[in-house]
Amino acid sequence: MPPGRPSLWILGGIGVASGFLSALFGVGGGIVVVPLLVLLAGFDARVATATSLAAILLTALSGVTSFSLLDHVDWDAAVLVGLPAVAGSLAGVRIQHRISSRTLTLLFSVFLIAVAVALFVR
Amino acid sequence: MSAGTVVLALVLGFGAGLLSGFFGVGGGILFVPTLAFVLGLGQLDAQATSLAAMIPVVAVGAWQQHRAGNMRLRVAIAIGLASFLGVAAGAALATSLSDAVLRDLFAGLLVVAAAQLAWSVREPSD
Repeated sequence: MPPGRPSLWILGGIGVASGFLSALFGVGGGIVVVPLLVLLAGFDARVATATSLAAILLTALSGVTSFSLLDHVDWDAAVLVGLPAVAGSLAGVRIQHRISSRTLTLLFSVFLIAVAVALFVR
Repeated sequence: MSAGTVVLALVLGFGAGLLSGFFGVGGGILFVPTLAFVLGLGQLDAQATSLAAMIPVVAVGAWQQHRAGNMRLRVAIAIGLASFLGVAAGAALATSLSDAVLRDLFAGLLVVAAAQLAWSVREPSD
């Protein structure tokens, strides 16, 4: 298979797996889409990340539709954290080249472990 | 809801977006704990609401990436459409589990995400 021309079967498999994780955990699914596009389709990291974002948009819309029909979506809370996040995202893209990504990634990783521990003991 | 709670939610929302822009993720791994811990939502409601909160973030991010010419739109649409099947199965499973089980599973996901991040900086990824 030539790099960058993944088969529909591979894309379908990536989609089903990411949709399942997304609805089960409330995440976008980028955590599986990005590495799988790199490993299975030969995409470079930048293209995989960009493509993943657009796929997540469809996945999240589908998940929100399912969960809002079951009345599990708190729209006020979604606006409260979602709107500042848009501003944060624009800032994040801008500072991407100024901060050591290695240091920040390791700090983020430690932070996630701390949150996981807090969730386990709750 | 107190003013302090609102400010903390706004700050953590901004932080989730910052990391989303920086790492190219949806931000759900930060939205869910913020919604559960700060705003007091149950685990399932926090996860469902996280998906709603990330829509404007990924929409703006995807648009920026599309303009930058990094996007493979047909690939994204194929993955996104196939994800509907997985979403139906994942939503059925999530709604059948208790909040306590969902919370433990989510904590496990955070550990996996942390390990993946740490792994990714072993060598320069660009």
